[in-house]
Amino acid sequence: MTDLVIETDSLRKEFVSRTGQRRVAVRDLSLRVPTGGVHGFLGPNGSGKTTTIRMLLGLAGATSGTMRLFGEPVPHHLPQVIDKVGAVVESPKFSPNFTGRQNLLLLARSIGAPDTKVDQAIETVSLDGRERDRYKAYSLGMKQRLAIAATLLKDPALLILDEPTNGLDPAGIREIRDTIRTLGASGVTVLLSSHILAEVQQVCSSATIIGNGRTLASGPVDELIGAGTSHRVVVPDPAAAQAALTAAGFTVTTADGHLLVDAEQPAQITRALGAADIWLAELTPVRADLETVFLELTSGDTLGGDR
Amino acid sequence: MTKLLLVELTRLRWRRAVLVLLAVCFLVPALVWGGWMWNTRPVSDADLRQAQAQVDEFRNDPSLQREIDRCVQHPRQYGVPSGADEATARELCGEMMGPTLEMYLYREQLDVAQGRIDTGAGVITILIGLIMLIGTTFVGHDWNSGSMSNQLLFEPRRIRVWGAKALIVFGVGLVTSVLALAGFWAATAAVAAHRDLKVPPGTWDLIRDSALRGALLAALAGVGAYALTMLFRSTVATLGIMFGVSVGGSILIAVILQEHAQRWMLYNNVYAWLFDGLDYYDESLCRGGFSGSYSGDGNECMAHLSQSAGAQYLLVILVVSVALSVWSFRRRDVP
Repeated sequence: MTDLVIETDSLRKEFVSRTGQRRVAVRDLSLRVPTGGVHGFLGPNGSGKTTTIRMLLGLAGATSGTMRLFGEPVPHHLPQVIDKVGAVVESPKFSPNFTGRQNLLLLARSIGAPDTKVDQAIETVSLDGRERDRYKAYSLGMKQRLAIAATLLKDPALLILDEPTNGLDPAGIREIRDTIRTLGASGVTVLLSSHILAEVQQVCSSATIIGNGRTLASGPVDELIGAGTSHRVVVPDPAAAQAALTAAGFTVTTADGHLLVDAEQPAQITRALGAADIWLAELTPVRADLETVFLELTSGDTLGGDR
Repeated sequence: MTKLLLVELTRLRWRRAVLVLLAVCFLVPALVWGGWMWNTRPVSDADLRQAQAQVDEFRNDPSLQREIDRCVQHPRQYGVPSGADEATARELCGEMMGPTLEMYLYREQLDVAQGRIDTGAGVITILIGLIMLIGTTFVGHDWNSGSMSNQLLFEPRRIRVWGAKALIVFGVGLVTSVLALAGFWAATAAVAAHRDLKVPPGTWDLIRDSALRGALLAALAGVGAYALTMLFRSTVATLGIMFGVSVGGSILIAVILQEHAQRWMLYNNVYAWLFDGLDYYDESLCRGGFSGSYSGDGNECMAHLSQSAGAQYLLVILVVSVALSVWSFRRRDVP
């Protein structure tokens, strides 16, 4: 049994247009999602997130590279693990003339789940009362909830959610995020694909950032953000402090009446200033948000991948 | 696989367009049957009275009387032997020009044997078209709505998904066609018995065989339409192909194959399969061909298309469609 729920190596996907032009959507992508928690899958639009997910789920074939789900190579062994994987890929896709319940019943019966499971899933996503309405009469939020209900029919150990809050109103977004957090806390591994940085920062414990079909960074969200951490230093004599810190090897920038110092640990700053007999009035860690990291990492990426 | 078959059967039952088409599969043959029975109904007393009234009315028409007078005066001009006395000449002229009761009572009798190869073939053709529509609309909806990808997230073995849907289209198509044709011919048999009509021996066996072959053909045609929709992922594309083949296919074959075209016409092969072979006119076999110096009796221009040759022709079309469809569904990305 591996600790990785999702594992890809050198994954590549090329599309060939009708005119014969090749477009690389995913190139040498290595994605590792550990068991448990909510893992963010971040990237700008067109960076290859959905294509990667579709390859993992067998909806699209990889040009080259390997993929594993629960340690099993996919797509060859996908039937052996698909019962443990719930997924919403892009927008929800159901038969518009069937009711929400009918749509779920067909999916549930295809895996031999009892009809009561459908009612439970409907209740979990708060669609009870509207389950006998036709799908086409649902709001976007209700459609998203129905799609999440469909994933719950399997009792999944892995949930793959591709932009699940797209098009939702603020209340709907909060509901979906709460649901994701709850699922993540209950032991289900969630892969949350999103280009909304705040969402990933709020919900995810770890993340992978991709751009242009490549992995740019991966790890716990705190570490990803921490990589860009600096400290706000307020001292009576900023010029003297800057000189002392620069001499000690720190990168220092001056700001409006204070200094910004890049350092892994604040103690390193106090030690250097103390040695120069300069005493701190204020030392505050300034944490970069995920947006800063994301923009730094993905700067220069073009939408739609290489051509 | 059983689970999947039941799911696909449920999906088909819940699809309203399919239900409407299934109803039409029974309604249209019923209408055709009703029209056939009405047009061959026996002459009733009321019909007889009406015909007699029409004969009387026409006989009393002054223009007819004038014409009879002219005939009596110039019998040879009217093909009546001259030399007869006036009363005989008037009677002969009246018989020749005057209306008879039969003229107003002419109606074809119900001919079950002939009905097998004209009305029966028509009903089978209608059923083939309708079952094809069921096949294409059933799965076209999955592609149009995008729900196919959702289905594959629950059953990623694509061949099984393809096969389950195809089996349901085939099964529903076969049962529907068998029931519709059985109802059609059972009702015809009942009417024939009620009218005391003599049906040539062996006719009902021929009808049973043709109907079963027709039902099988309709079901397989449904699978063919389903396969094309899975290949093109669009109901509209399949309907376009069906329309194109039915309208332009014959023209194209005629242009390409010219005098040998009849062998390869779709309808001739269907006909050969349904009715134990087909004798068709092939100009290339005529003495003299296109030279214009033809002097035969016509028999040498007839070619025979056997039932097995017709079946092979249709089977090749089906196998090619299915193979392409399965290959495409297995290999191509699903949106």
